[in-house]
Amino acid sequence: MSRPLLSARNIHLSYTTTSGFLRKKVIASTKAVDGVSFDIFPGETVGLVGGSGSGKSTLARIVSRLIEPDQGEVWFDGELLTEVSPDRMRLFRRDIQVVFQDPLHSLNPRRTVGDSIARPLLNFSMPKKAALAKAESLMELVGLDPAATSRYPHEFSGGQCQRIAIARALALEPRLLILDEPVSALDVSVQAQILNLLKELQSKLDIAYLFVSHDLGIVRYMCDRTLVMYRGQILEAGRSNDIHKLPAHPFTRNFLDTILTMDGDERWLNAAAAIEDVEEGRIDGKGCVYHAACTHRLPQCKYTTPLLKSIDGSRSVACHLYEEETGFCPSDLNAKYEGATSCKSKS
Amino acid sequence: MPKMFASSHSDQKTHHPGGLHISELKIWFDTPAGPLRAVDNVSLSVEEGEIVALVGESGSGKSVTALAALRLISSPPGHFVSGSVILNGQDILAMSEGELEAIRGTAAAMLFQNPRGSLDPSFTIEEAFLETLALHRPEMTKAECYRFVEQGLREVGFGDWKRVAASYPHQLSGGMCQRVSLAITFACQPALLIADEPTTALDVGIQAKVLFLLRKLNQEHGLPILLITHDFGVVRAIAHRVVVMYAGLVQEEGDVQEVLKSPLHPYTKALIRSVPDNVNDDEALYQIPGIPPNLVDPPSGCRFADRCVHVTDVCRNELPELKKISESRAVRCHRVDSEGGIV
Repeated sequence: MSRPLLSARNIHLSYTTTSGFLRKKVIASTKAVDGVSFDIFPGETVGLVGGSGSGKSTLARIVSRLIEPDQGEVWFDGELLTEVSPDRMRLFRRDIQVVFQDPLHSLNPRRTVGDSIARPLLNFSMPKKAALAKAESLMELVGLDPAATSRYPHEFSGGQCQRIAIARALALEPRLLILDEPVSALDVSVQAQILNLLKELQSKLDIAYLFVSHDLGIVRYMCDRTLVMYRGQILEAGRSNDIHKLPAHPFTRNFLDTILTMDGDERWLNAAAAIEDVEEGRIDGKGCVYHAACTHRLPQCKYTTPLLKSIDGSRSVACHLYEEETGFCPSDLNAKYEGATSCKSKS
Repeated sequence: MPKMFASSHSDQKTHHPGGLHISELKIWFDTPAGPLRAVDNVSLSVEEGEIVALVGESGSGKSVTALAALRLISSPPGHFVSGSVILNGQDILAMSEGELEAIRGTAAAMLFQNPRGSLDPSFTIEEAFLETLALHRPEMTKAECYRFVEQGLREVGFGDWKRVAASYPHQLSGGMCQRVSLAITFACQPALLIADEPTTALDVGIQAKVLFLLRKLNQEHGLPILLITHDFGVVRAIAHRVVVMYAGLVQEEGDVQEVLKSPLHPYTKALIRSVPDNVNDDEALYQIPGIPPNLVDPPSGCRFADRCVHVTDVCRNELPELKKISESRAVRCHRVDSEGGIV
């Protein structure tokens, strides 16, 4: 495979709560991102899924260098992004653009949308006339009336505002677009429009997407590869369809079960009953982050951290169930679900 | 299960026979361009023990209808043009502001989309809980109140309720805040719960948890629920009946199973098809073309006509009636005859 467009290596970030005079006393520290590494190749879509508080948005922000990690490296196109000078970083801003969850809040209400879309172009010294003309063609690209550039954000619906935010992110012709829950705030019918638009744009413009979402159904539909996060760690990574069909980590299995489906199965009820607010229960930061809630836990899960290891060509899992001698495979985890046959004979 | 919840609920049932009955309700809002017909002749009832889902996209009038149940619409700009709202046998539209204040929270309580917005950031969860109890359950002693906080928080799944009770809203996640709101709302022992998109802002795991709790409250305490949502997945999961609204009008209603199996209105069909459930990743998702009509000057024909794939001349000129086609089922579409067949 070609060289990755973006590589993140061993990213760590803790949020600390402080108190006392000059806020110097640290009273609590939460690991938002805890030793995460991944790659994004040119033109592919990588999904980053997890529940609220899993660290997925924080990771997306670190990758776009909106916040600095405590530790770790982000490489973009062969350059170490976490150490380049602010001037040089400005150039990389062209290549990495972000679309946020709430389209109404990410557009300036006092600027016309044409102005908002043209702003990044003006920032990179494009003449005003050319920038406004480009804004019109971008409006057309995202399926809006180019004549509407003189209108203000409040005159558009949520879905239309999200299209405008996408147009603005595309203005500088980035190579990587970070989509932080781009459809979570939208109605189901509008969601479909935005997802279709994103797919269409990708095939036209050949951009890589980092798609952050809590919905494995949407991620399966949108993404080539998926990373599943929980409490700051990647627990599973692999091809989206494989993960959706045959999840390997017990957390992913439970996460999939909570999705409401239209075919009337009631798996979500059992999954919901099983969700308890358990303390992490790890000792000295060792052990599996999911062990307290896990239905498959082994004695060692509390004491040793499972590493993200490849279990077959494309899939990696951080789980003690897959230690070599046991011969455990994803089908065993999914034994009670349709279409899963044991793979013990194979190995 | 805490006994307090169960017993007092059965008491209330004998006092107020009821549920919610909205009939031929019209609510218009003043705008510079003229009155906007947000709710334009809507009838809807939630019987005891029932979960009714009110489905529609933004701007369909579903939230305004729900707010009307407690007359939570400021006037001006809102006007109740005609119709009636009967909650537990009481005429909501005829009550004074003082009388309304007394029944809000007990006759019907609301659970909102943004859970953090409905909790005061400067009070701990326990303080918020106790304040609500002092207001709505003045007969309870202090010790009873503290026990109630524990039971309430435990019932919504907080094993570590002590930590939660001592927390401020910003220290809890969105899903935790929503469950706290649910516990506090339920502590008022409402005769009806109105949940306005209670899971839209939450991730799927917490969504499942909140829906699970709503269903439990309904099954164990017979609590009737009016559930506002735009997601048919949510409807399928917990509702008994569904009412589909579009552009201020009810377009279709019926039992959830029936409507999902054979949706009759083209809009209902389109909504169900928009859920990205079993679509192959190389196919495009189904999307409804066009945008909803302007409700200041609604079209004279069917309000969905401009976006409908089956549109004919009669659709553009004549507003279809909401036809009753069986005991529980009604549809507003020219293509559907009185037996539910497609013409």
